Amino acid sequence: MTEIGTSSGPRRIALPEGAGAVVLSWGVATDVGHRRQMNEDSYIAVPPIFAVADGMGGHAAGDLASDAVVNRLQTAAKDGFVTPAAIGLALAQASHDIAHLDGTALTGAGTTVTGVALTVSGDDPYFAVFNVGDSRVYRWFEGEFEQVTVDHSVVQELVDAGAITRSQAETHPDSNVITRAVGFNEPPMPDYWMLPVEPGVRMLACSDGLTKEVGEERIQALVSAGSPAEATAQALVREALEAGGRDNVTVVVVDVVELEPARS
Amino acid sequence: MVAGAFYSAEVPGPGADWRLLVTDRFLGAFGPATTVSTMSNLWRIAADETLGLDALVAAIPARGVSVVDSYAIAALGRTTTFVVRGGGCADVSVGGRVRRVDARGSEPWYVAELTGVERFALGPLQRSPGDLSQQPGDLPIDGGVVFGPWLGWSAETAAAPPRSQPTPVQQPPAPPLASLDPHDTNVLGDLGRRAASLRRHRGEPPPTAPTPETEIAAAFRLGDRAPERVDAPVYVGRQPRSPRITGGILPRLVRVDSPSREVSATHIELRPTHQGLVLTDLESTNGTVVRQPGTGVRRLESGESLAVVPGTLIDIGDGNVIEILAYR
Repeated sequence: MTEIGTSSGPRRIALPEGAGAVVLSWGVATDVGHRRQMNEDSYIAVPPIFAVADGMGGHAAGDLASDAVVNRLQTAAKDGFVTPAAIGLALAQASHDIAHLDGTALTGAGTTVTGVALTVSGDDPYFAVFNVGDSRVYRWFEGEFEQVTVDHSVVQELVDAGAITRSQAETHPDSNVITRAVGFNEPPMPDYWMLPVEPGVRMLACSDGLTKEVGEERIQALVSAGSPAEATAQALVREALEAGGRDNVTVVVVDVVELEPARS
Repeated sequence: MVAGAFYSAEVPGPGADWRLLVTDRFLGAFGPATTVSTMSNLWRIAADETLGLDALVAAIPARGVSVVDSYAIAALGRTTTFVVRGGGCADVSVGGRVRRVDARGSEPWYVAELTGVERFALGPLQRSPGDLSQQPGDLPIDGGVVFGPWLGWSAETAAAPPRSQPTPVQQPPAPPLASLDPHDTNVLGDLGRRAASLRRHRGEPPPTAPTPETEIAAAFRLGDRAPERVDAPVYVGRQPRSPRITGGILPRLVRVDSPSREVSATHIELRPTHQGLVLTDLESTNGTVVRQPGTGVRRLESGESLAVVPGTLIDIGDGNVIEILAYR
C-alpha cells in the first residue's frame, strides 16, 4: 500500500483568490485485515485531497494500481488547490500508468478510488466528491448521515433496476463485482458531486473492507459519537477487524472545523 | 470569453502546420501529424457544453496509428488548466513573468493549473516565447480550427466588460445584453466552414453577425452581481449542492443570502441547452415565481421546468431575483 499524508489536528487551508479559508482536521487508519497477505489499499490525506483507493489484480498488481492513483492525485494537488477537471485528468493519467505496469498485461490491474477534494465555486468552498468503483464517501452533518457516492457495482445496478432490495444486496453473491474502475485498459469515468463546506460537516471515505463488514447503522454510530477524526478512523477500522476483517480496510475522516468567510 | 485568441499568419510555408482549435472554453494546438478525423472529433467534443476537459483529452489518441504525440491545450476558467504532451508546450505569462509549461517526458501528458494567467501561447517547443502579446499581423480567431504556427491568447482582449451598467432587477428588465464579449462569439459547428469564422484584424471591417430573430437565453444576473454566462448547469440556493454528475462537466453553484430561510438549500437549476436555458424548481419549499416578458407572472409548481427567454425574472425569495440574459 501507499500512504500519502498522516492524521492532523486543525489546520488552516487558504482558498485561492481571496475566497477565505477553511480549517480542517482529519484522521486516517488502515489495516491489512485477517485474511489477506498484503494490503492493496492506498490513501492520500493531504489538503486539498483526501481519497481511498482499493487495488485489484494478482501478484501485487492491485497494490501498484492503487499506488498509481494516489500518486497522480498528489501530483494534481501540488499547488494546494485542485479543480474537478484536474482530478479527472489525474485519474486518466493513473489509468495510463496502470496500463504500462510491467507484467500486468495478462492479469490486468485496476483500482477503485473515491474521496473529496476541496474546491471553490464563485467565492464559496465546496467538497468535490469523486468516485470510481465501490469504495464509498459518506457525509454526516447536523445529525444526518448519508451515503453520497453510488457504487459502480453489479449489485447496485440490480438495486437500481428494482430486482433486489438494498438489504438483499448486502449478502448477494456478486457483491464484489464492480462495473467501473481505474485501470483494466478503460478510460476512467468518475461520478462527481459538489457539496457545501460547512462547519460541523464530517466526511468519511472508506474502502469496502469497512462497508462489507460493518452495517451502516453501526458506522453512523461511530461517526457521530463525537470523537476526533483520527480516533474515529481508528474505531471504524477496529470495528471492521472485529467483524471478520476479511479484506483490507482503509478509512479517512475529514472534519470541517471552521470556515473563514471571503474578504469582501 | 473566447475572443482573445489569435495566431500568426505571417510565418510562411512549413511551420504553419499546427492545428489550432478555439472554442469559448478550450484552446488547443495539435502537432502536424494530427489527422483530420481526430480534429473533427475534438471539435465536436470541445463544442459540446456537456463535456469537460477530461473528455477532450481522453479523445486524443495516445497510441496507435493516429497517435497525437505533440499538443498543448488550455482550458479557460477561474483557473487555467494546461495539458501538454511531447513536442507541444505552453508559454504562460503570470504576474508579468513568462514560464514554459512542457511535458518533460511525462506520459501520457503533463498538467499544470495556473491562476492569474494574463497571456499564453500554445505551440511547438521550438517556438521562442517572446512577450506573448498580440502583434500587428496576428489574426484573431473567434472560434474554429485553423492551421498556424502557434496559438496565442490574451486576457486583455478576452476581458468581458458588460456593455450596460448593472441595474437593480426590481426595476423593469434592462434590454438583454447584446454580448458579454467585446467580439462576437461566432462558433460554427462544421469543420469545413471554419474559415468563415476567421476575420481580418486590420483593413476590412469585421462583418456584423446576423441578429437572430429570437435571442437565446444563455446568461444570468443575480441581483447586482456581474452577469454570468451559463456553460454548465447552475444550482442556486441558500447552501446549494449538486446531484450526481456523470458526464464530467462540473456545475456552477451559486449561494445566496436568505436570512429568513425563504430560499431552499438548493432551490433552482438553470440548465443550458442548444435552444436556451431551462429553469427547474428543485422541489423548493416556498416555490419559484417567474415573470416572463409578455406573459405575466406565474408560479412554478414544485419540481416544474420551464424554458426561459431573455428578460425573464426569477424570484426565489428573500429579495433574490435572477434575470435571464442573452449571450450571442
